[in-house]
Amino acid sequence: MSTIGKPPTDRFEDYTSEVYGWAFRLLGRHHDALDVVQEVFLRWNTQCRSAAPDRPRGWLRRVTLNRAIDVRRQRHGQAAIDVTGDEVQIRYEDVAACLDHETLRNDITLALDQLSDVQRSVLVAKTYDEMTFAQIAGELGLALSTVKTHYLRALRTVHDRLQPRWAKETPS
Amino acid sequence: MNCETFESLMADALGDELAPGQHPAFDEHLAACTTCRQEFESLRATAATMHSLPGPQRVTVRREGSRLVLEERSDHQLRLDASHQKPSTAASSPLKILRYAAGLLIAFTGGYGFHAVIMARDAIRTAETIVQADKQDDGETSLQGSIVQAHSRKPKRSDLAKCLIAMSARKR
Repeated sequence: MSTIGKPPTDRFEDYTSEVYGWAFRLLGRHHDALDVVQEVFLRWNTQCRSAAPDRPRGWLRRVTLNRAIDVRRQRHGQAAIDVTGDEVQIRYEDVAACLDHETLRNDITLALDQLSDVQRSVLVAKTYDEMTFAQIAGELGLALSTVKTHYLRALRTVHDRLQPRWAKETPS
Repeated sequence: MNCETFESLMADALGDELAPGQHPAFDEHLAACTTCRQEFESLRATAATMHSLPGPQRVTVRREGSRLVLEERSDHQLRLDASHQKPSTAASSPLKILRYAAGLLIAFTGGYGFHAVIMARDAIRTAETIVQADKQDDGETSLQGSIVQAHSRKPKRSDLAKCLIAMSARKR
């Protein structure tokens, strides 16, 4: 994807779908994800006025995840199902499945909140963007072995955070 | 393989990037060491749980002035799209373009051919008129003068070059 020579707005446009995808993955609501995209867009423009990020995708992933975690934290205690005006957005045939996904989303977001920026970026890039370790290393400017270490540590932290959930699901 | 080596390969194995040559030794240690197996299984379950989190169905990006507008397609809209879409639409798109191109080419060639026939007929008629005028005037009117005269009578439809060719053919 060639973004050299483009104005900042156009360069952001190349990554809009991905930014939306990262935000939606953690928030599960279309309108919240859109809000995050707009905010990230504003931050992107502000950043580009001083110096454009060397690795735009890595920068955008980090900022988007941080912002999505903030939104999730602010939303804590709100209804799980998105109600916008008179339109109830239930995206699953089974409401139970919707609630289950929402709980899982919440648990994963809180687990990601425990990670460092780099660990979070590595884990999301590997799990959701399905990138190879070499690609992640190139994008984040890290050594291959460092990326693998970050991935393992991140998975362990998330596992510890999700432990109570599994204990609840499989009572001994 | 000892536990330390196993640990160093665990990220590759979890990320589906283990080299084919490393599989036998890795699997052997996995079967033999309970501690490593438990660790590996728990991290694999964590990765699978994270992966199970649904992402956005589909998002389209369009631009409205200086704003970026993202639209998510709901399940209902996706079903509607699928029911309205003909199965062969995607495959026949290049074929459709080719068909249109061939149609345009035929229309253009046909139109041009028809125009050429009309022009040639006009040219022959004009040439005949000039030759007859030459005969009647018994050589008093010059050939060039007749052509110019004919050309000024029908400036749009007569073609000077074609007149000359047709005339020379008739005179011979």
